[in-house]
Amino acid sequence: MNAPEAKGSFKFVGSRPIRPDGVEKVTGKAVFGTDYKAANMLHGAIVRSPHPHARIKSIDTSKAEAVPGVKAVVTGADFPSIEDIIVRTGESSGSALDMSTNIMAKGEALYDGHAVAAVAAVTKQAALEAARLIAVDYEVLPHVIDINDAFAAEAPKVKEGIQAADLGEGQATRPNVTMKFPMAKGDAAAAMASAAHVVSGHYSLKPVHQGYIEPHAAVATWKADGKVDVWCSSQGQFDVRGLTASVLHIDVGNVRVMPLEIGGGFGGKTTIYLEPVAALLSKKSGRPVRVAMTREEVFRATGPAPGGEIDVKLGADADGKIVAAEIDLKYSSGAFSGGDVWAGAAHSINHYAIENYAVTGWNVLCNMPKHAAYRAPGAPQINFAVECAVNDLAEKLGMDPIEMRLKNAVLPGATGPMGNTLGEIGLVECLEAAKAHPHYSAPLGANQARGVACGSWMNYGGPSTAAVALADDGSVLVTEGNPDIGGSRASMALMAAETLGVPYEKVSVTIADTGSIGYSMVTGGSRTTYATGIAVIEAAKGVINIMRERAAKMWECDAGDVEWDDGKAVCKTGDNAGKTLTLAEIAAKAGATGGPIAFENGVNPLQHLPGYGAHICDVEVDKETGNVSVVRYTVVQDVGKAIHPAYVEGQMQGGAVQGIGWALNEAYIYNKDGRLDNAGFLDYRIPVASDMPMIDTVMVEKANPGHPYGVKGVGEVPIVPPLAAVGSAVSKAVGKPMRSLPISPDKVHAALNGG
Amino acid sequence: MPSVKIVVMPPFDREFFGGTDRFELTAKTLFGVVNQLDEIGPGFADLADVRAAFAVDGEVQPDWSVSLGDAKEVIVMQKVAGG
Amino acid sequence: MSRIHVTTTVNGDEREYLCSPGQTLLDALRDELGMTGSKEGCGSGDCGACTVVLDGEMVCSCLVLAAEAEGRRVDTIEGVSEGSELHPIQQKFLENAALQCGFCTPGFIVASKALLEKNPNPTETEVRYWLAGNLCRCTGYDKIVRAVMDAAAELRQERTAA
Repeated sequence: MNAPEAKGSFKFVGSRPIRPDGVEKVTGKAVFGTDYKAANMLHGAIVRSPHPHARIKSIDTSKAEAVPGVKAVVTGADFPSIEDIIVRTGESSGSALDMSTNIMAKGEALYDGHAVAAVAAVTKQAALEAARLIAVDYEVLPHVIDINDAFAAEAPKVKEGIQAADLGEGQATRPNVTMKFPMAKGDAAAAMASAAHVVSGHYSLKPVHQGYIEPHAAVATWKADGKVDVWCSSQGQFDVRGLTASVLHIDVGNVRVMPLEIGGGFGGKTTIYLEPVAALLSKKSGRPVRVAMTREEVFRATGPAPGGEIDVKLGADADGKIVAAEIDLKYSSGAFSGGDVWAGAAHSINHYAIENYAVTGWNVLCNMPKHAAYRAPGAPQINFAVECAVNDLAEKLGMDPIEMRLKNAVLPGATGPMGNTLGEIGLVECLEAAKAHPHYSAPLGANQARGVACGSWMNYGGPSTAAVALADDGSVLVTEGNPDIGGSRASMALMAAETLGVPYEKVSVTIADTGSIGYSMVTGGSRTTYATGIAVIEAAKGVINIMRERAAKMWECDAGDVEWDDGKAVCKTGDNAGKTLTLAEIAAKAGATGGPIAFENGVNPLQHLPGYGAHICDVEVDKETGNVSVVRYTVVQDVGKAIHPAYVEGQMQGGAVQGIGWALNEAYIYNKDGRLDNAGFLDYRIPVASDMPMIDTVMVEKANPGHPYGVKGVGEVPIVPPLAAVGSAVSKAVGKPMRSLPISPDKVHAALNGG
Repeated sequence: MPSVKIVVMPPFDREFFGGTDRFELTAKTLFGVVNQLDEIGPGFADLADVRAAFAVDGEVQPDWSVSLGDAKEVIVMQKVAGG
Repeated sequence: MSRIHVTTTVNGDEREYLCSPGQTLLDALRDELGMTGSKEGCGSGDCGACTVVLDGEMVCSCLVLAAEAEGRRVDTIEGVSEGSELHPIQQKFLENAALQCGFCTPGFIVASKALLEKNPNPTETEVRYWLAGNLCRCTGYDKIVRAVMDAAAELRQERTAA
């Protein structure tokens, strides 16, 4: 694709109109996953293992089935046996067997909260009563949750049948290590040995939850003809369809998924938990079934992000140029193998030009739920370690930490650690903007300190489908397949309006079910505004071509003599030269010129570019209690081109605050019996309004030549730098390195008191 | 047809090619590359469209049917899932 | 199980429902009256997505029993706008892009309205502490706080003009 088409002179792109779905969402009318009801619907309840690891000797459902109103009971035995095939659903590919086993235990419960049976009844109360009466006979087995414990060669096996990774010649396998991922360039050891300055440290992070406020819920109906309809909120109805069909072992064409409004996902709703359960309960009962999770179930059984145990060693020359990096990262993935450690390795030094490095990633199983994507999956953990080390290095050299980063920043056209060219990236611009920001030079108060960090996310493009149709009054109808999780309807409408040259208010956007339009990958990976945006722009261009043909017919000339300019067809030659027809005028005559005007197309763009950001954080430490307050925070990010700047700022602010929560408050806490001790929002404390200052944002706009309007993905980058920005600030304030997250008051208090 | 250097990034090198990560082969398109890699590492083709991305001389190429022309290098990478 | 007959006033309308003794007001609103604007994010009073006003006091409707609403007045998100006219708080949430997914939004709007009725001129800190019982995971709160401050300013102006 060529350079951006309108180079900075936009009519609608870059404005801040009210989002099309706004009124429904501020009046309580929007129908979310937890709001949908089908006629004659049953209510489901799930029985979950209280043990982190146990063999299921037997399940007695007879008492449950005797409860009045109970219509169906399912266990793992009701799930079709499937060979371990890879599910083909765009990016969220994975093993169908793993997914099925995570949804319902088969012979072995693998974590506290693992589903072992489900019931459906005419009332919620009857379903809960029946669930209590299901008798599961467990043989409790040894469990392991902590990464270091699970990594050990003598660790108890997380489950039967683990395919342990081949760790190389002469290396004994470790029972719970399923992947070793080495990545190297140059000679890290030699460069380290000759480096003028070396820093090193060990960093620890606990698993954290995405923390979306809407719990999972699904309604499914399995009809007599074998067709299954599903209503749920997710980050992608098409991938819910593919995953559900794989787990149920039925044709994709037999599953239709209706997308409901989604109450937050952050990666955690790119997978499925309830849909096959509801479908099987429906198959048995012959009625629609709704299964919904409580908050406790969400914490115990759905996707946390990996915890990490990370060693970082960096070497720099006397001028502050980083000459060597040695990094070892161990990530948990729950009871099933995952891919985050790969992404972690890939993002470890994606933002620096380093000639010699040796990065080794390890995927470690533990008795926890199958980990799920969480905003820039795998990147924040490693970035915390690397960026804290860079700050240590800057301090050792007596260099300004932003100068240090500018000296090492990866430049446009560089080759990333994965071998691909990084293109028109904007890290240097972000660092320059951060350095020039008044925040960076503002004086600090007593007990305050400042931290900075920068980081990246590769972003993605991939398959999307969109259609644009005209109504005969000139209304423009955009249909697409990506759930609107943070204002994407507005962005799509703005891009359609810009392309067609019609006012934003003339465009309406529908998010279609899987039976109504072609495939789109999930709303995730920071891909939607980029890839689905291109699908919408291309569909709008298709409509323009049709309108040029129709105008030509009306003028009795060739379509080649008609140009589209600012929302109007303009005749260039012949008797009608200089005449114009508006979109509405052409639409009104559609019936007389060949029929309805509409264009649908699928695209698979991959000229997305990685996004980069730099964050500045001021903290204040209460020396008496160890409490840390974030008193000022600034996010600088290269966003390519902000289509709707308010929602881009929103991504930057929201991502930063999630990262601040990760740094200061959030962690999964398991007790010695392997049970989750903080499965609720009181004890798993996400940031609240009174914890936070305003989050200042600086949008650097360095256009992506691979998108007609210059878009780069923006959603994931902002959660990457906060962990180190906060962590380094606290370390400075207390005078000791704080390398274990979360930096809770007790840790700060201990550090201040010689602990 | 000039030959093209293939660089296989982890984890595919170990998973399919016994740890070998460099190949030299001749192919018109990425379809040809995938088919030949599948002969060396059986099963690779089945997973390639799901898990792999291909960078041709540094640029990620989504369309496997585009002519490789006189491309020097194809890098086989894992796709990155987003959140 | 015997069910309890409840007569209550919801957004000014007299409504009746049958509830079980353990049922929450949130469940009664959502399941018996079909008013799904109030959301259940936690069921334990930690997230505020179910915030309603009961006899003038802001409460988490998941912590109130359905039977307790007998003879009382319940105000929910569905009653915030007058007809098709948005309340200034709703309008300011839209103008400030103070919602991303929108799931927590009804609770925030009901809570903000309760704040501004008690305190028409809150400081930023007062807004943040009043809303500390409402969780939002998308926005980082910045735009929500701005929307509430903006709405407060507009409401003060309206009051002065009136």
